[in-house]
Amino acid sequence: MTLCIGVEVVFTYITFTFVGGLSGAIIAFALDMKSPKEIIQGAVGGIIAGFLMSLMLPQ
Amino acid sequence: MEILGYITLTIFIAAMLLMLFRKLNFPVQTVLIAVSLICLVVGAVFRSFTEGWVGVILLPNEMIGGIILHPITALLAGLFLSGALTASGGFGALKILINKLRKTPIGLAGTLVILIQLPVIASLPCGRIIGAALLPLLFAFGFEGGMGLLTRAQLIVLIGSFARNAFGSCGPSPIGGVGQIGEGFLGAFFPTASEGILRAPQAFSLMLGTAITALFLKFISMKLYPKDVSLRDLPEGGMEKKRESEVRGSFRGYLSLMIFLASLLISIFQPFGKMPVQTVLVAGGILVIILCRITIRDMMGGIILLPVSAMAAGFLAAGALAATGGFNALGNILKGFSNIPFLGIAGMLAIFVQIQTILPLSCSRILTAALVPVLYLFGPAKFDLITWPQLAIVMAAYMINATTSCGPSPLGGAGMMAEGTMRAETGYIKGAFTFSSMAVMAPLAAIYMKFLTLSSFPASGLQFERNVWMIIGFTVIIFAANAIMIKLTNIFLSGNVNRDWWYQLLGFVIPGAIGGAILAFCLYETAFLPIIQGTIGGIIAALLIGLMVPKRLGPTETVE
Amino acid sequence: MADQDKDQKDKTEKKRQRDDSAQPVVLPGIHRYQFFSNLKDRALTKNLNRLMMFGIITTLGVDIIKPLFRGLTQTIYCYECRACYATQDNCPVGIPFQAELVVASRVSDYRRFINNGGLKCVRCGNCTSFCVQYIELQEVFGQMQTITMDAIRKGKVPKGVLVRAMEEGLVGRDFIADVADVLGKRT
Repeated sequence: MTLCIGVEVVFTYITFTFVGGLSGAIIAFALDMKSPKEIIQGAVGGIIAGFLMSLMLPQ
Repeated sequence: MEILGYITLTIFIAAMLLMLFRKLNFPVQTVLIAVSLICLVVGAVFRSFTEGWVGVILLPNEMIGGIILHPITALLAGLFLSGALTASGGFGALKILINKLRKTPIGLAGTLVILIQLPVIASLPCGRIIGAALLPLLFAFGFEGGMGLLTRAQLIVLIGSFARNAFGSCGPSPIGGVGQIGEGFLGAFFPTASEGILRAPQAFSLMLGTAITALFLKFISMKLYPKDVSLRDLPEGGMEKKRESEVRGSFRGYLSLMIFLASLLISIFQPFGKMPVQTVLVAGGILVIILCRITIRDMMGGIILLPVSAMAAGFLAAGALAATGGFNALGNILKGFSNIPFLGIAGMLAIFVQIQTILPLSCSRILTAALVPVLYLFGPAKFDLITWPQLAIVMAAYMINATTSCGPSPLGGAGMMAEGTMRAETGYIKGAFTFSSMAVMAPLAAIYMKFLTLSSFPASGLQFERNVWMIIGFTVIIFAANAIMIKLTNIFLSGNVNRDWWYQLLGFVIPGAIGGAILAFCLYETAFLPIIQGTIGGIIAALLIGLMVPKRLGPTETVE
Repeated sequence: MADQDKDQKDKTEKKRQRDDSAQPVVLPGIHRYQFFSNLKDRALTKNLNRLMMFGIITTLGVDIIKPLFRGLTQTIYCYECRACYATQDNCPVGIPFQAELVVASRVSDYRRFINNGGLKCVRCGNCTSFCVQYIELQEVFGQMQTITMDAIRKGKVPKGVLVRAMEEGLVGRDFIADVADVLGKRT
């Protein structure tokens, strides 16, 4: 199955935002910010970072 | 000449080991220059017999060729600008902005996560630039820095994980990053490789590696070295007091901050045409001098000579090794590993990708420039040990390992800046940094390259949907396995230095084995023997890495 | 007696404790801790360390000043990122490692320049398009070819290097006669 480049790029965005969110939540946990609100805030920060990171990548 | 390479390589490695195990109590620069001179003398003796005086006289030039000016000047330019920012009150203004950001819905946690991941987003050609600029700001989050928002333990995790992210960000940088060394070689087969084939795998693995570093620092490093960070914690009721006394920002501060941010953006996006990052940063510094009316002396105050001189000394030692054939000898030794039956090609490659974490030097460019050509020759270009897609996968794993190696290097590596900022003894972050490079980043980069990046290139016809699930599955497995391993080690740590160190070593070996097996799987899929060989290679590499993690750091353990 | 020894040992160890103010400043307001280059050790080897620092600064100076005097200023700006290696088949004479030639030009390393095929470069400029810094590589290589040939004529390059270069076809048409001539004279 051959997919067009567009789908792959979208998948790159999704992968990066997902992994960014995961790492953001873990970093927040490691920073002793363990309340659900703080973990979610960390994940949102990570999602923003992951999205920005994927925007910087070559298409 | 070949024997000369082995001799100089032995001298170099012996000196490094003696220094790491504190048998040579000299500054790193002194040892490195001494090693360079010894190698040079040995080389001169050999050459006087083989080539005569003409060959001897060329040796110093060949040694100076080892100096890579770019990271040195980039670091100096970054420090120059950060000195200007400090002098003009730019950090004060930044503190206020961050205070405002933490009151938005993303809160303090989200703000800190973005700050930690900022270096990879910016992807400057040397992580020291952003490190020099932002490390004092991170320090400001603690009690001693003035903001009093974070405790001592939180600050250690914040600074350490930021440093992990920063001192690997030179890998995916499109403006002269280390990864471009590998991309150039891969361009021989993948037509668009030089546009950034290695960037996504590196950025992806760095993101998760940063999180694992944070966990390691929290659960292992702080327990292993409890007295080796002299940061002060918040006194009773001190937090409120500190929070109340907020820093006031000046117009000069905001202006210099804007110039700083503009300089960073211009360096990254190059809107006015190609120009060296150093030029942009120094021009930014000069603008700050003129507009914010600060003195040149203020700016020079920001320059730290230790990492600069240590890096230059490292380059000279590498130059001396290259001139006397030391790197050729290293390449031969590595290739020789593939002939050992229980290692094979898969085991050799599992060790090869970790070589820079085993031997972390002050700048990853030193060994990368020497070893990437060797790796290239393993491919179809000469020895035909691996195919082009396999070469790309090994290159991705090797490169992320390489670019993150300046972080844990106690030989003038960038991580020393972070250790200085958190007031820790040298070597404090070594365990966390080497663990994340070895156990998380290398296998993840290989997975990403195999199942996503390569599927975007015409060289491979892999099925996309299957690949998606493979990436997600392996990411979760690698992440979960390492997080569990860290937590398990944490449970077993008891405060007994010797026993704890053995537990930590075990905590390195198991993830190392998994990493080696995953790399072998990426290269040979489900073939049984290569996976076993990869596992053995991973164990050997992990042992070598784990053995180099210091047992204790401080000069005295008995004095309270 | 044993107690006295213990006291003495404690005192010595206490002396070894670090004093914050004695540590060198590494970042504004931040002190540095280093086990193998702490102040105590530095004091023992003060002049040795000074000599080594002088060595580092001198070599850095030489590395920058030398190309300035030889008209190879552009080489100072090389990132050594090796993006130029992507030239691959676009190089008409098949030079694989262009960055090596740039570094060799910066420090006047004749051996490295010749061994990496610097003398067979035809200065077409194809590699320049891959350089992230837009260094005019063909100009750099042309200039270094002139400097290298001067050095060869003056006998500054070992004979073995030239013989190997001739055997492996590392000398281009422009220079092969000159190199053969020099080798003939030195035999």
